[in-house]
Amino acid sequence: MNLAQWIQLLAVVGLGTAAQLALKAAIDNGKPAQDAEEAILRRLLRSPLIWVWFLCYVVSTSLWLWALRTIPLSQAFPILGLQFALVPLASSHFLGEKLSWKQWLGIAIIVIGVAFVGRP
Amino acid sequence: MNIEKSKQIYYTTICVGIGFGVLGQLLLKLVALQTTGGAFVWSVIPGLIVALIIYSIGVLFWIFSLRHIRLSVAYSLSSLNYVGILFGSYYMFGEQIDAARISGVALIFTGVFLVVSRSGEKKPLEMQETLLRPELVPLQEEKVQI
Repeated sequence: MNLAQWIQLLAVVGLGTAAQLALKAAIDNGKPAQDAEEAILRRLLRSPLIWVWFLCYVVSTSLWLWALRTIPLSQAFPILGLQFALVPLASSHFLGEKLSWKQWLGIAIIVIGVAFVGRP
Repeated sequence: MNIEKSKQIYYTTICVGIGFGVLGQLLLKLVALQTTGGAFVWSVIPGLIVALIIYSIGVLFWIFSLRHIRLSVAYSLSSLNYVGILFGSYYMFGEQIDAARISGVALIFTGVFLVVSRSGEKKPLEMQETLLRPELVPLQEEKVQI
Protein backbone atom coordinates (compact mmCIF):
# COMPACT_ATOMS: atom_id res chain seq x y z
CA MET A 1 0.00 0.00 0.00
CA ASN A 2 1.14 3.53 -0.65
CA LEU A 3 1.15 6.39 1.85
CA ALA A 4 -2.27 7.73 0.84
CA GLN A 5 -3.81 4.30 1.30
CA TRP A 6 -2.19 3.91 4.71
CA ILE A 7 -3.54 7.28 5.76
CA GLN A 8 -7.05 6.32 4.65
CA LEU A 9 -7.03 3.09 6.64
CA LEU A 10 -5.43 4.69 9.70
CA ALA A 11 -8.13 7.36 9.63
CA VAL A 12 -10.83 4.66 9.48
CA VAL A 13 -9.29 2.89 12.46
CA GLY A 14 -8.60 6.12 14.36
CA LEU A 15 -12.17 7.37 13.94
CA GLY A 16 -13.49 3.93 14.89
CA THR A 17 -11.43 4.12 18.08
CA ALA A 18 -12.69 7.62 18.84
CA ALA A 19 -16.25 6.35 18.35
CA GLN A 20 -15.75 3.55 20.86
CA LEU A 21 -14.23 5.88 23.43
CA ALA A 22 -17.00 8.42 23.00
CA LEU A 23 -19.60 5.69 23.48
CA LYS A 24 -17.89 4.45 26.61
CA ALA A 25 -17.61 7.96 28.02
CA ALA A 26 -21.28 8.62 27.17
CA ILE A 27 -22.37 5.47 29.01
CA ASP A 28 -20.22 6.10 32.06
CA ASN A 29 -20.86 9.84 32.21
CA GLY A 30 -18.77 10.10 35.33
CA LYS A 31 -20.47 7.18 37.04
CA PRO A 32 -19.83 3.49 36.60
CA ALA A 33 -22.63 1.91 34.61
CA GLN A 34 -24.47 -0.39 36.96
CA ASP A 35 -28.05 0.71 36.44
CA ALA A 36 -30.79 -1.08 34.68
CA GLU A 37 -30.68 -1.19 30.93
CA GLU A 38 -33.24 1.60 30.34
CA ALA A 39 -31.35 3.98 32.60
CA ILE A 40 -28.17 3.41 30.59
CA LEU A 41 -30.03 3.97 27.35
CA ARG A 42 -31.62 7.18 28.60
CA ARG A 43 -28.26 8.44 29.83
CA LEU A 44 -26.76 7.54 26.49
CA LEU A 45 -29.33 9.45 24.46
CA ARG A 46 -29.04 12.53 26.66
CA SER A 47 -25.26 12.71 26.39
CA PRO A 48 -23.85 15.01 23.70
CA LEU A 49 -21.07 12.46 23.26
CA ILE A 50 -23.50 10.18 21.45
CA TRP A 51 -23.25 12.63 18.53
CA VAL A 52 -19.48 12.34 18.56
CA TRP A 53 -19.95 8.59 18.33
CA PHE A 54 -22.44 8.92 15.49
CA LEU A 55 -20.33 11.38 13.52
CA CYS A 56 -17.17 9.30 13.88
CA TYR A 57 -19.10 6.26 12.74
CA VAL A 58 -20.53 7.89 9.64
CA VAL A 59 -17.24 9.46 8.57
CA SER A 60 -15.34 6.25 9.31
CA THR A 61 -17.74 4.17 7.22
CA SER A 62 -17.56 6.63 4.31
CA LEU A 63 -13.77 6.62 4.44
CA TRP A 64 -13.81 2.83 4.52
CA LEU A 65 -15.83 2.80 1.32
CA TRP A 66 -13.40 5.28 -0.19
CA ALA A 67 -10.42 3.13 0.83
CA LEU A 68 -12.00 0.03 -0.71
CA ARG A 69 -11.97 1.74 -4.12
CA THR A 70 -8.25 1.11 -4.42
CA ILE A 71 -7.15 -1.21 -1.62
CA PRO A 72 -7.76 -4.96 -2.01
CA LEU A 73 -10.33 -6.19 0.52
CA SER A 74 -8.05 -9.04 1.59
CA GLN A 75 -5.53 -6.38 2.59
CA ALA A 76 -7.78 -3.66 4.01
CA PHE A 77 -10.07 -5.85 6.12
CA PRO A 78 -7.37 -7.51 8.28
CA ILE A 79 -5.84 -4.07 8.90
CA LEU A 80 -9.09 -3.03 10.60
CA GLY A 81 -7.85 -5.36 13.37
CA LEU A 82 -5.53 -2.50 14.30
CA GLN A 83 -8.50 -1.06 16.16
CA PHE A 84 -8.09 -3.87 18.69
CA ALA A 85 -4.67 -2.39 19.42
CA LEU A 86 -5.75 1.25 19.41
CA VAL A 87 -8.81 0.92 21.64
CA PRO A 88 -6.89 -0.56 24.61
CA LEU A 89 -4.08 1.96 24.11
CA ALA A 90 -6.55 4.86 24.05
CA SER A 91 -8.49 3.43 27.01
CA SER A 92 -5.32 3.22 29.03
CA HIS A 93 -4.25 6.73 28.05
CA PHE A 94 -7.56 8.59 28.28
CA LEU A 95 -9.68 6.49 30.63
CA GLY A 96 -6.89 5.24 32.88
CA GLU A 97 -7.70 1.57 32.28
CA LYS A 98 -5.01 -0.93 33.24
CA LEU A 99 -3.67 -3.21 30.53
CA SER A 100 -2.41 -6.71 31.26
CA TRP A 101 0.87 -8.05 29.85
CA LYS A 102 -1.19 -10.28 27.57
CA GLN A 103 -2.85 -7.24 26.08
CA TRP A 104 0.47 -5.46 25.54
CA LEU A 105 1.80 -8.58 23.81
CA GLY A 106 -1.37 -8.76 21.71
CA ILE A 107 -1.02 -5.10 20.69
CA ALA A 108 2.58 -5.70 19.57
CA ILE A 109 1.61 -8.80 17.58
CA ILE A 110 -1.26 -6.96 15.88
CA VAL A 111 1.10 -4.17 14.78
CA ILE A 112 3.57 -6.70 13.32
CA GLY A 113 0.72 -8.50 11.55
CA VAL A 114 -0.59 -5.24 10.10
CA ALA A 115 2.90 -4.44 8.76
CA PHE A 116 2.95 -7.86 7.05
CA VAL A 117 -0.47 -7.46 5.49
CA GLY A 118 0.14 -3.86 4.41
CA ARG A 119 3.40 -4.63 2.61
CA PRO A 120 3.35 -3.06 -0.85
CA MET B 1 -35.34 -27.94 25.43
CA ASN B 2 -32.03 -28.83 27.02
CA ILE B 3 -28.91 -26.76 27.46
CA GLU B 4 -27.02 -28.46 24.62
CA LYS B 5 -29.80 -27.60 22.23
CA SER B 6 -29.91 -23.96 23.27
CA LYS B 7 -26.14 -23.69 22.88
CA GLN B 8 -26.50 -24.96 19.34
CA ILE B 9 -28.95 -22.16 18.62
CA TYR B 10 -26.45 -19.52 19.68
CA TYR B 11 -23.63 -21.14 17.71
CA THR B 12 -25.91 -21.05 14.72
CA THR B 13 -26.85 -17.41 15.23
CA ILE B 14 -23.24 -16.35 15.69
CA CYS B 15 -22.22 -18.14 12.48
CA VAL B 16 -25.15 -16.56 10.64
CA GLY B 17 -23.93 -13.21 11.98
CA ILE B 18 -20.42 -13.83 10.69
CA GLY B 19 -21.81 -14.95 7.33
CA PHE B 20 -23.85 -11.76 6.93
CA GLY B 21 -20.85 -9.69 8.03
CA VAL B 22 -18.58 -11.23 5.41
CA LEU B 23 -21.23 -10.92 2.72
CA GLY B 24 -21.77 -7.27 3.67
CA GLN B 25 -18.06 -6.49 3.36
CA LEU B 26 -17.81 -8.23 0.00
CA LEU B 27 -20.81 -6.24 -1.26
CA LEU B 28 -19.27 -3.00 0.04
CA LYS B 29 -16.13 -3.78 -1.94
CA LEU B 30 -18.27 -4.49 -5.00
CA VAL B 31 -20.01 -1.12 -4.58
CA ALA B 32 -16.69 0.68 -4.06
CA LEU B 33 -15.28 -0.85 -7.24
CA GLN B 34 -18.19 0.58 -9.23
CA THR B 35 -17.16 4.11 -8.30
CA THR B 36 -13.53 3.85 -9.39
CA GLY B 37 -14.36 5.36 -12.79
CA GLY B 38 -14.12 8.85 -11.36
CA ALA B 39 -16.84 11.00 -9.82
CA PHE B 40 -19.48 9.75 -7.43
CA VAL B 41 -22.19 7.74 -9.13
CA TRP B 42 -25.76 7.91 -7.78
CA SER B 43 -26.58 4.51 -9.19
CA VAL B 44 -24.47 2.79 -6.53
CA ILE B 45 -26.70 4.06 -3.68
CA PRO B 46 -29.17 1.11 -3.72
CA GLY B 47 -26.29 -1.38 -3.69
CA LEU B 48 -24.65 0.55 -0.88
CA ILE B 49 -27.83 0.47 1.21
CA VAL B 50 -28.26 -3.27 0.64
CA ALA B 51 -24.63 -3.89 1.63
CA LEU B 52 -24.96 -1.79 4.80
CA ILE B 53 -28.23 -3.48 5.78
CA ILE B 54 -26.75 -6.95 5.32
CA TYR B 55 -23.70 -5.92 7.31
CA SER B 56 -25.90 -4.48 10.09
CA ILE B 57 -27.93 -7.69 10.28
CA GLY B 58 -24.63 -9.49 10.79
CA VAL B 59 -23.71 -7.14 13.64
CA LEU B 60 -27.12 -7.63 15.30
CA PHE B 61 -26.82 -11.42 15.15
CA TRP B 62 -23.29 -11.14 16.54
CA ILE B 63 -24.30 -8.93 19.48
CA PHE B 64 -27.29 -11.14 20.25
CA SER B 65 -25.12 -14.28 20.29
CA LEU B 66 -22.37 -12.62 22.30
CA ARG B 67 -24.70 -12.38 25.27
CA HIS B 68 -24.91 -16.13 25.48
CA ILE B 69 -21.60 -17.40 24.21
CA ARG B 70 -18.34 -17.22 26.11
CA LEU B 71 -16.28 -14.33 24.73
CA SER B 72 -13.22 -16.49 24.07
CA VAL B 73 -15.32 -18.93 22.05
CA ALA B 74 -16.99 -16.11 20.13
CA TYR B 75 -13.65 -14.58 19.20
CA SER B 76 -12.27 -17.93 18.10
CA LEU B 77 -15.24 -18.19 15.77
CA SER B 78 -14.63 -14.65 14.55
CA SER B 79 -11.52 -15.96 12.76
CA LEU B 80 -14.07 -17.21 10.22
CA ASN B 81 -14.45 -13.54 9.24
CA TYR B 82 -10.90 -13.49 7.94
CA VAL B 83 -11.27 -16.85 6.22
CA GLY B 84 -14.49 -15.74 4.52
CA ILE B 85 -13.03 -12.40 3.44
CA LEU B 86 -9.84 -13.96 2.02
CA PHE B 87 -11.75 -16.62 0.08
CA GLY B 88 -14.31 -14.09 -1.11
CA SER B 89 -11.67 -11.57 -2.24
CA TYR B 90 -9.82 -14.30 -4.09
CA TYR B 91 -12.79 -15.75 -5.91
CA MET B 92 -14.90 -12.62 -6.44
CA PHE B 93 -12.21 -10.03 -7.10
CA GLY B 94 -9.21 -12.14 -8.10
CA GLU B 95 -7.01 -10.58 -5.42
CA GLN B 96 -3.51 -11.96 -4.99
CA ILE B 97 -3.18 -13.66 -1.63
CA ASP B 98 0.38 -14.65 -0.83
CA ALA B 99 1.99 -16.30 2.16
CA ALA B 100 2.98 -12.95 3.70
CA ARG B 101 -0.62 -11.79 3.72
CA ILE B 102 -1.88 -15.02 5.24
CA SER B 103 0.77 -14.99 7.95
CA GLY B 104 0.00 -11.32 8.62
CA VAL B 105 -3.67 -12.14 9.04
CA ALA B 106 -2.80 -15.01 11.38
CA LEU B 107 -0.63 -12.64 13.46
CA ILE B 108 -3.38 -10.02 13.64
CA PHE B 109 -5.90 -12.62 14.72
CA THR B 110 -3.54 -13.96 17.40
CA GLY B 111 -2.96 -10.43 18.66
CA VAL B 112 -6.66 -9.63 18.76
CA PHE B 113 -7.28 -12.84 20.68
CA LEU B 114 -4.63 -11.90 23.25
CA VAL B 115 -6.05 -8.40 23.64
CA VAL B 116 -9.55 -9.73 24.15
CA SER B 117 -8.64 -12.50 26.58
CA ARG B 118 -7.63 -10.48 29.60
CA SER B 119 -5.22 -12.32 31.85
CA GLY B 120 -5.81 -12.71 35.55
CA GLU B 121 -9.54 -12.47 35.14
CA LYS B 122 -11.22 -15.16 37.18
CA LYS B 123 -14.67 -15.02 35.70
CA PRO B 124 -15.60 -14.78 32.06
CA LEU B 125 -17.34 -11.59 31.04
CA GLU B 126 -20.83 -13.01 30.71
CA MET B 127 -20.64 -14.42 34.23
CA GLN B 128 -19.84 -11.04 35.73
CA GLU B 129 -22.70 -9.58 33.80
CA THR B 130 -24.96 -12.32 35.07
CA LEU B 131 -24.03 -11.50 38.64
CA LEU B 132 -25.14 -7.91 38.12
CA ARG B 133 -28.21 -8.75 36.13
CA PRO B 134 -29.84 -12.01 37.12
CA GLU B 135 -32.36 -11.75 34.31
CA LEU B 136 -29.51 -12.39 31.90
CA VAL B 137 -28.88 -15.96 33.09
CA PRO B 138 -28.82 -17.26 29.59
CA LEU B 139 -29.23 -20.96 29.18
CA GLN B 140 -32.58 -21.47 30.84
CA GLU B 141 -35.35 -23.28 29.12
CA GLU B 142 -38.03 -20.62 29.03
CA LYS B 143 -35.65 -18.03 27.55
CA VAL B 144 -34.78 -20.22 24.62
CA GLN B 145 -38.22 -20.93 23.26
CA ILE B 146 -38.37 -18.01 20.89
